Amino acid sequence: MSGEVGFDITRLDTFATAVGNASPTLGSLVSDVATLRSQARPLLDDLMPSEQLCRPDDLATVGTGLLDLKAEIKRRIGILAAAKLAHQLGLPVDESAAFAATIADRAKVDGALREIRELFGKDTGSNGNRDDLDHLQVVLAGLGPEELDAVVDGLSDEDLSRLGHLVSDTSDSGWKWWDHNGLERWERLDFYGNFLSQVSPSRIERLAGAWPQIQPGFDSTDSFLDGANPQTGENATGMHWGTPDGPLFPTGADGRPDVDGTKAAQGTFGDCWFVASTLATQAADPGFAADHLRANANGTVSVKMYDGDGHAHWITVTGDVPVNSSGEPIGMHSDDGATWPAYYEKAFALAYQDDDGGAPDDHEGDDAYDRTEQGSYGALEWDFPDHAAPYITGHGADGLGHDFDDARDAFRDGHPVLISTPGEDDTPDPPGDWDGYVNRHVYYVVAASGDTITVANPWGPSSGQITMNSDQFDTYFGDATAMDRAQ
Amino acid sequence: MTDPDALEARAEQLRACARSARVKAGALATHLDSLEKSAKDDTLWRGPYPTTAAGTLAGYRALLRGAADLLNEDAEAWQARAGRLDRDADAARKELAKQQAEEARREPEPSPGPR
Repeated sequence: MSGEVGFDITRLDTFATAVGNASPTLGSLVSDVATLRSQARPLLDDLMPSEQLCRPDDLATVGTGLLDLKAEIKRRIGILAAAKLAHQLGLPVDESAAFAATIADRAKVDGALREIRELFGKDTGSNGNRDDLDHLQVVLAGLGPEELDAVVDGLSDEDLSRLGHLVSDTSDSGWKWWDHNGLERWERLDFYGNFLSQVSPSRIERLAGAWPQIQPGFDSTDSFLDGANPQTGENATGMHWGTPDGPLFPTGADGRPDVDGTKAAQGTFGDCWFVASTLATQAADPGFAADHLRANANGTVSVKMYDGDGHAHWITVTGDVPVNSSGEPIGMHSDDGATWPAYYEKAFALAYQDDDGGAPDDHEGDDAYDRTEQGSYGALEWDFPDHAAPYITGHGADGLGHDFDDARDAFRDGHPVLISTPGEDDTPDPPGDWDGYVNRHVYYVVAASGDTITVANPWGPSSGQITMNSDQFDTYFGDATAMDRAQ
Repeated sequence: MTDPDALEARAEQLRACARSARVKAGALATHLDSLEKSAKDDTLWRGPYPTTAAGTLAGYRALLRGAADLLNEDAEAWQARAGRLDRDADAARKELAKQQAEEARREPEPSPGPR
């Protein structure tokens, strides 16, 4: 095989996909069988043969194993693709490396495990363990997917949990400015993401169990606590984690992502300010979503967001999102079935650090609703239009004040533009055909002519769009905010 | 005494479960057949890893076949139980007919009417 470039990558990719698809269909079959047995059970007096066996059900491991297999084949397809590229560049190529028994370097794995174990018992002195964790980060970044699998396999659940604690515990002593423990949020997200974006699905299950901090909770959101969206009243009962059906992006005739942000909608969380910021950015740059999200072979999704210095970080989230009792995403979603909005919102819930708590949601002072949070969907509810921009674009946002011309001109200059509405007490009844007009809300501009601005409601296409003139802007709308396009 | 109609209805429910179970068992047993065949196709890939992957799929297929066999055994047990319920229903119906006949025989003589 040396020197040949003969494997059909498209065929292999189809095979890998079929292996992965066999997992959910097996899950459905197993679920059907369990239902049948539960239906038969009350009709019987004796134990049925399957009940006389004292062995665990192996079928769940088959389902996860199929996902692992798919991920591993896709990894090797990546090696083949690189080999093909090298061949096209005239370089000598040996494709057989893609199908070697293992592509893990045991020495690198053992080295990483040694570094981790040394951390557990190490006296880091008075300056904390951040330097050691930074070093470990560098070591782990040098490992490939199979090697990271082997690192996870080499650690017990207790070890993984302890590692997660070391990484997330930033509780410095407070009286010494030089002691730094744990990793700061963005570096921590990089640390988790390095594993989550690459390891096999069965290892993701272990990591999710050991590192609960990789999952943004939703139990402090108004919609979870009340069972309904606080503004729309949309039902939110039965909220649970589930993996949505549907592609990350719809694809066009050329097979490339074809994202229509106007089909996206806010869902039940009270984060219109974030959703409007995201959709304004997508409206200004149709390639934004495709450039900022990618599906990984193991079922996780990586999302590009920016830290306070404008540096890009790929945040990786597991494939599950908050869903309703029908299994549909309950937060940000898209009417065309694309799942990118749900994952973008989930990554933002992990990354957002600027929540101040408090909200005009009739629960002021109730700690269950209004507390300062980080790393949860609750942190996203009720916030300000300029807070999301740095995370989405890597740039701050400019307050334009209450000026129609400035808002129109900013949009025409290519800026994503947001316009908020005041509280009910500050506006007369809106025109009868403005069905989608809501007070205390944030809209995003989708069109502007000489004397009109058209805004879309982040609640989605069913809420329609509003075209206003300058007088209507003055009467019904508040300040505008201009963002920059994403880096 | 158990209602024979209820026994027969229970038997029919069990038979329906058994029929569905056999269909599901067939699906389980063959769920990975085509994938295992593809994995062994050396025009698709060849080398140590493909051999390992094909072996893994063969192992999974064997597990699914075992699960399918077990489900078929359950279905057989349900079918057998349905047969016994049918027989119980027959016996109950006969017993009921016998009791009704006896009750008919024991019906009291008509009492004298009013004068």
